[in-house]
Amino acid sequence: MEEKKAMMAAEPAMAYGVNTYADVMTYLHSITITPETMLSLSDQLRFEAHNLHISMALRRLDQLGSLCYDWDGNGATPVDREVIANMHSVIKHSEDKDWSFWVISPETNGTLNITSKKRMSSISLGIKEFSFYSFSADGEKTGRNLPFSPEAFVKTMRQIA
Amino acid sequence: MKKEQVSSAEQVARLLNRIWIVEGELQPAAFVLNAGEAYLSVNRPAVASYESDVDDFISKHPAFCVHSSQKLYYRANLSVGDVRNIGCLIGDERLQIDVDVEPRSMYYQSHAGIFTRVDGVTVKADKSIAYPGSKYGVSSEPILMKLRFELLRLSNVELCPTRA
Repeated sequence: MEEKKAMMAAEPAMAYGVNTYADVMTYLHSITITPETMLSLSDQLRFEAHNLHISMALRRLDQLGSLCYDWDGNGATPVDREVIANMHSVIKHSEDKDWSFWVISPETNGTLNITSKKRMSSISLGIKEFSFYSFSADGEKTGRNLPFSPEAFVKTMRQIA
Repeated sequence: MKKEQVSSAEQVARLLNRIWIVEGELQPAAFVLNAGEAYLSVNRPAVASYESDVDDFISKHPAFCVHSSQKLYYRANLSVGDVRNIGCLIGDERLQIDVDVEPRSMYYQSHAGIFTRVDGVTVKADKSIAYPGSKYGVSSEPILMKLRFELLRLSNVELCPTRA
């Protein structure tokens, strides 16, 4: 028992789980931070709490935006900045539930691709166009080189998710 | 002349960039061909140089390590026999797709390629396929997309040590 207490006492102060809004606020109050930064963090946390899937998609997009040349070991190019901007605009035009079933991945030619977790569906996004493929028991749906707009892209996501 | 084949009893491994694993799940993007590329690169653990080939590759491409401080990498193991049995039929033309695994030892002794063919014509990314008997050819994209999902389904993801 003594040994256990000693181990617990040696644990860092922040070892407890941060699970609730109260936990987060307690943590925020425990560190030195300007009121402006606190407000901004608080807004961000509130946004993330209400838009979990969108937040994850945005984090993933940030990660993909930092890929360097040859990231796949086979000469892949980094994701094009305009493609990243396009995906940002898609996310901005979508609802959180739209992202429950989609994962963003990089293509090796600088474009992005989103793949459904539920079925064999995927949408490729370039600078000016997007294409999609979806296979299900009902048959195949395909669209090639469609002019890109965030609205059209989100509509396709909803149709083939 | 018949091309050299990897035995159906062998396993091949696709080395995985950590970007292809999201929330612990391997993504189909791990099996995408580059534009114009004719085969998907894999390595053969049964070949003696496999470990040193992987070490060399990972030392040049650190994003294939699970974490910069950890000498571990993910690989997707695929049975060559299972890969050969992939047969997808596409569209109204009911194309028969053949998938094969052939050695490509020019760069690394353990390197091999997963090829996809329609009536003997190799399917390349971003190219339409004009196979014998076809009038206009067909897009390679639906074929390669189905292949991606099939390879994902057959994959057994494993965490392995590297000396790189």
